[in-house]
Amino acid sequence: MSIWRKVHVNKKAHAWEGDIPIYFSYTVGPAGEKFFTALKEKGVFVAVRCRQCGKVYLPPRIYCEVCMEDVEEFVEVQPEGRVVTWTEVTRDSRGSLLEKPELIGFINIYNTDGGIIHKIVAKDFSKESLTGAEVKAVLKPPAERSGELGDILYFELKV
Amino acid sequence: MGLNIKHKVAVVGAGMSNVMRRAEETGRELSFYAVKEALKNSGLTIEDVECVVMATAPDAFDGVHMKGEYLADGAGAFRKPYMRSYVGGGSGVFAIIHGWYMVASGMFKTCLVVAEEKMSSAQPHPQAAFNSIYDHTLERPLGVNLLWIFALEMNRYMSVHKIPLEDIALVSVKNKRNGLDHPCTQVGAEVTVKEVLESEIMAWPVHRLMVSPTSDAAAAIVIARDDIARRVSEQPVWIKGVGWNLDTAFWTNRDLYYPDYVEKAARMAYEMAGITNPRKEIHVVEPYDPFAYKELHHLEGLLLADRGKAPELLKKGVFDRDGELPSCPSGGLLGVGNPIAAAGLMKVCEIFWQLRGEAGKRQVKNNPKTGLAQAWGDLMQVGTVVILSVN
Ligand SMILES: [Zn+2]
Repeated sequence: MSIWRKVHVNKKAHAWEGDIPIYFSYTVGPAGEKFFTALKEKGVFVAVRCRQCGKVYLPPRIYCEVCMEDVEEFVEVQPEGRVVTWTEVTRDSRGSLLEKPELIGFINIYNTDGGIIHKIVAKDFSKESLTGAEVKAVLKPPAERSGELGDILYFELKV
Repeated sequence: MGLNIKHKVAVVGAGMSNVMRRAEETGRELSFYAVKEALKNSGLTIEDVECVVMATAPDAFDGVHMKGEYLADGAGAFRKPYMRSYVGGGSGVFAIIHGWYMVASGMFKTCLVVAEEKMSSAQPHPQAAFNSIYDHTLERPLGVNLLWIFALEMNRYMSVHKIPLEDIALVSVKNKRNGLDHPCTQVGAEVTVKEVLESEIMAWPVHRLMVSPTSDAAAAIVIARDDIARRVSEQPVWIKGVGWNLDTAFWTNRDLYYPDYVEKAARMAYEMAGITNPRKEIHVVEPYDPFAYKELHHLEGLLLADRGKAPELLKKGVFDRDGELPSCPSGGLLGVGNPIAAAGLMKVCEIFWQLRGEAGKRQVKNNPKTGLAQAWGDLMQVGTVVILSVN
C-alpha cells in the first residue's frame, strides 16, 4: 500500500511542468576530425591501426582501448564492407509508424576491425541473404557534404 | 566504526590532462590522456590493472546519458570489472574511496581510478544542467542556479562570523597565484584583492573572481595492494583514512554557516588514520574550493581551523605554500580549473605529488609526510575525504 493514489491526469494533482533547458555542442575529437574531413573532402573513410596489437579501428580513435597506447597509423579505406547484421524498423523513436519500413545495418568495413551502423537501401533482398551481403556507401555529392554522418546517404548492395 | 580491513592500499601513480574550456578532445580522449600518464609513472601496465573505477558528474554536462559506460574504453576498462562512482562534485574523492574498497577488501590487487568531466559540451551554459538538480516544484520555478546557493551560504558564513569580503578575496589571490605554477592550469593568474572585489558581482556576495570556471579535463590514479605497491614503487603513498558523509538535501533544514557533513567525513577519516590532532598531523591539504569562501568553510569543517577563524590564519600566511599548513598548493579549482569530478581527483594527485616531493615549483616547504584531499558537492551536502601518507 505504498502508492497513495494514481494520477490519471497530471493537472488534477498539483504538478509543475518543466524541462532540462539545455542543448549540446559535441566535439568529435582529433580522430573524429580526420574521419569527417576525409569523408567530406575525399569520400573515403579513415581508420587507424594499433602498432602493438594490429587492431584497425573504425571509426578511428587516438588510442587503442586494449593496449592503452597512442595510435597514429591512420589509413584511408573505401566505404565498402559486409553486412554483419541488420533489422527492418517500422516505427520511429516516438512510436509513430514510418511511411515505409527502413533497413538498418551494422556494416563491417573492409580491412578494418570496426564498422558503422547506417541505413541500407535494397530493392530486392531476401532475409536469408542480407546478412553477409556486400554493400557500399552512397554519399552526397562532394559539394553538398559538410563532414557529418549525413554525408553518407545510405549503403546499397554491391552488384 | 568497526574496522576490519584486509589489506593496506597505496597510490602508486597519478596523472591528469590539461584543464581547459572547449577542449577539442572528447571525454574518452581526455580520460585516456590521464590514464596514460598515471600508468607511465606507476610501474604497472594496463594488463596489471584488475579493475577500474570511474567518477564523472551529471550526464547532462557531457550530454551523454550513461556517461560512465561511454567513457569506459578511454578509462582503460576494456573487458575489466568497471564501476562508476557518483556523488556530484564530491565524486573525485569518492572515487579513490571506492578504489580503496576494491583493493582493501581483498577483491582485487590493483585498481585504476579515473575521473572525467567535459562541461563545455553543455550549452548555452552548464548552469542549465545545474538548474535541474534543485527541487522541481519548490525551487526550480524561481529559476534557481548554482550561484544562488553559494551566495546564500557565503553570506550566512560571513554574517555569522563577521568576516569581511576582503578576507575571502584573499583565497582567490592565493589560489590563482598557486595555479600559475601548475602545468595543466586554465585560470592561474596574478590578481589583487582589489581586482577580485572590483570584478562583477554575480549574486551578492559572490564576485566573478571568487568563482571557479567551466572546465574540461580528466585525472587518474593507480592504486595497489601493499605487496604490489612495495614491489613496483620506490615511494608508495598509503591511503590511511577515508571518510564521507551526506547531509539533508533540503538546504532550508541546515544552518549553512558550517558544513557538519564535512566534519563527520573528516572525523571518520581521522579515526581510521589514527589522527588525533589534525592540525599537527596533516601537513598539506587540498580542500575543495569551487568558490573562494568554500576553502575556508571546508578548512573549518575539516577541523583544521576553529569555526570562523580560517580567514585569520589565511591572512597570517598559514595556508601559503611556505606556511605551516599549505592549503591548495596546486592552485585548486580557482587556480587550475573546475572539471567537476576530475577536480576532486586532481586534488588527490596533488597530495600524491607533494608527499613524494614531485610537485616541482608547487612543492610545499614543510617536508610533508601526511596530506588530506577533500571534495564536496552532490546537492551541496556531501563531504568526501581521503588521508594519504608516505609513512
Ligand atoms: Zn592495441
